[in-house]
Amino acid sequence: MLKDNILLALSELKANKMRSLLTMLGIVIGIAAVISIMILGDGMKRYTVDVMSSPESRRVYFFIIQNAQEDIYDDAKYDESVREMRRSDYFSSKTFDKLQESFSDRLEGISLDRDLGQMKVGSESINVCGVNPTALSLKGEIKVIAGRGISSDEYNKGKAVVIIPEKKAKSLYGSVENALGRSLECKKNNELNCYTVVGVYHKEKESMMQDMLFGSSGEPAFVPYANAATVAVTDDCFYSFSAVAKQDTDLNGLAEDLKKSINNSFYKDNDAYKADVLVLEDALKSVGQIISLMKLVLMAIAAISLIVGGIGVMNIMVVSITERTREIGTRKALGATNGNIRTQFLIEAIIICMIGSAVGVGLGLLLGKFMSSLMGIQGVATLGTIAISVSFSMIFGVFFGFYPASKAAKMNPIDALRYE
Amino acid sequence: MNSSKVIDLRKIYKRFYVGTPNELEILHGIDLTVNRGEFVSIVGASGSGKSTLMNIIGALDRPTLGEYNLNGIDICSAKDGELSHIRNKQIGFVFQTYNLIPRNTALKNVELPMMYAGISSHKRRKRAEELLEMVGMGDRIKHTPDELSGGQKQRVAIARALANEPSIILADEPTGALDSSTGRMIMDLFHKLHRERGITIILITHSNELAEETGRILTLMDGRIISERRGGAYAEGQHTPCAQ
Ligand SMILES: Nc1ncnc2c1ncn2[C@@H]1O[C@H](COP(=O)(O)OP(=O)(O)OP(=O)(O)O)[C@@H](O)[C@H]1O
Ligand SMILES: [Mg+2]
Repeated sequence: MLKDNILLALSELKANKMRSLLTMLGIVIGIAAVISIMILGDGMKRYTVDVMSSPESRRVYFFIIQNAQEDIYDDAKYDESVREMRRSDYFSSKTFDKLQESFSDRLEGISLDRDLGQMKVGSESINVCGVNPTALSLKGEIKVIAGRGISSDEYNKGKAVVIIPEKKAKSLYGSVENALGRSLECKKNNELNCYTVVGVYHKEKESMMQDMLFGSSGEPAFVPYANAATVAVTDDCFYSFSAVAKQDTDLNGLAEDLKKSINNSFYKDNDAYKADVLVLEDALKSVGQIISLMKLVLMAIAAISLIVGGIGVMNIMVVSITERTREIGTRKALGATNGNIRTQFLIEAIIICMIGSAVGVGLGLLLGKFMSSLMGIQGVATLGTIAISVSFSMIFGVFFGFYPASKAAKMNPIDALRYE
Repeated sequence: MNSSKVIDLRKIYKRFYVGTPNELEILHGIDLTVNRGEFVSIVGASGSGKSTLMNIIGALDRPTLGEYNLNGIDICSAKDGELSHIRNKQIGFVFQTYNLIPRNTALKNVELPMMYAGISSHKRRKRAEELLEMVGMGDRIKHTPDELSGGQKQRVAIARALANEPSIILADEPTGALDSSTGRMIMDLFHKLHRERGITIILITHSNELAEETGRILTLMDGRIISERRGGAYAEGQHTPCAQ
């Protein structure tokens, strides 16, 4: 009996292909939206968790503000008439050396980087960036896939060595292995810099979007900071810097202590400027909250589209039942009970929803994967999410099929047979 | 209870309520008994209430007043579910407009009453094939109604009516939409079923000639049976064209 009803429903759907497809479309879109949003939400969550556990999350950010200001957002006390910044108002490597010395127990390092900008290598161009180890740790997940990283000796002595991104190695030297030991000759404003390639790196979790927008030139070649500093045209003054704390350090405490130390030494007698600090972890946390809120809102929208799809199913069922009134009358004359008729139409609705949701799950998985790779995150749909959305669509089938099916079941056989 | 009595109608009234004040009485106290194995025809002008009476006999509709016993079952007090069961097991309907289920093959159509009776798919397929063979549609079992002619459709409908071995066949103008020779063929089929299987048949027709072939002819006028007489002018091989 159940098998007969299923076969009957399938043949009914086949007989009205276009209509069945359009009806299913609503369910397909709804389920696809739910699944892809779940994948994206999961990916974003993983991303924030990753960031939270990376050096990024242990970073405190220093910058210079006017003496009268409470913090960087305190625009009210910003004074146009205060004198312009002089060389001595900036942070300098002296500041960094002192901090690193006096806070060595809690400080992993101070991030120093200097972007040398785009340089020409033959007909290609490459971005070159001078970094110290701490700065490199803030550049994302850099993995050396051939050769080696820059050694601490090379960092300290400012040797002319470079690690280049995988894509550049391929486009410049044909292959990753070929690049090792070669000399990278970069030109900028007729100035020639030569670096020995010691390693090739691959950046994990590079998003497809970044790739399309910036191409492989977006990933810079890294040279030791000390080397870049000698080339640099700019002086030894910094408007801001980042310090990275050691693991399990109280960031807020450290930030306050660092700030006090700077302001009590370098800025003690400064008449106009002082240092201030931001702890990035707090910002990350609120970003995480915003993301989960966004996910909720998107889920609500997806759920609404699913409901609209369900109403579409109900609408079609009502139409189909009116169309098939005589058939229902005949079935009743042949001995179908109200229950038989109700089951028949319920199963039809459930099958529409099930096929629709199966297609929707497939589409949602594809869409979710595609969008998360565009955004450079890695989300997965758990079996649980899929099971939940599919069983939801079954419940939808029953819920939205029930009214039309009952309507059919309650038809008076005579009226149904006489229906014109 | 007389076991040979299949249908026993006593003082059957049927009223329709079209709008609040307009009560329309279509049947005015019909008394009718039909014995097992009878072939009865009902004739009468259009609108005289033949179909209304037939629907009551077929347990598709309930009388407004009166008593109705079908094979010893009190139809008036039966619940909807019981009526479905009675229609399924005891009655075979043949309609003027065939009423085959569209998009379903002849085989599926004949299987339908057996499906509602809960017979296994293997058994019902076998029986449906036999029945279709019997009505001369053995080579068309896979055809859907839109691929069949009127006469072929009606033969499938008759096979369907016979599916659960009902005690009565109710045929409401079964030849009404067919030409005379096709109608003749359908009529011969009824005679064959009646003679060989002893099935009780009640036939509504507008053709006096066809009515004359049956054992008993009832004439209905304005919701009353005004005459009842014996017929029986049917002999096999005779081919009176049936007047439409
Ligand atoms: N559901 C209904 N509501 C109102 N009136 C109805 C209903 N069913 C039947 N009637 C009326 O009952 C009367 C008898 O109808 P019925 O169909 O029984 O006639 P009939 O003898 O079968 O006619 P025909 O030979 O044309 O088929 C008609 O006047 C019809 O209008
Ligand atoms: Mg009629």
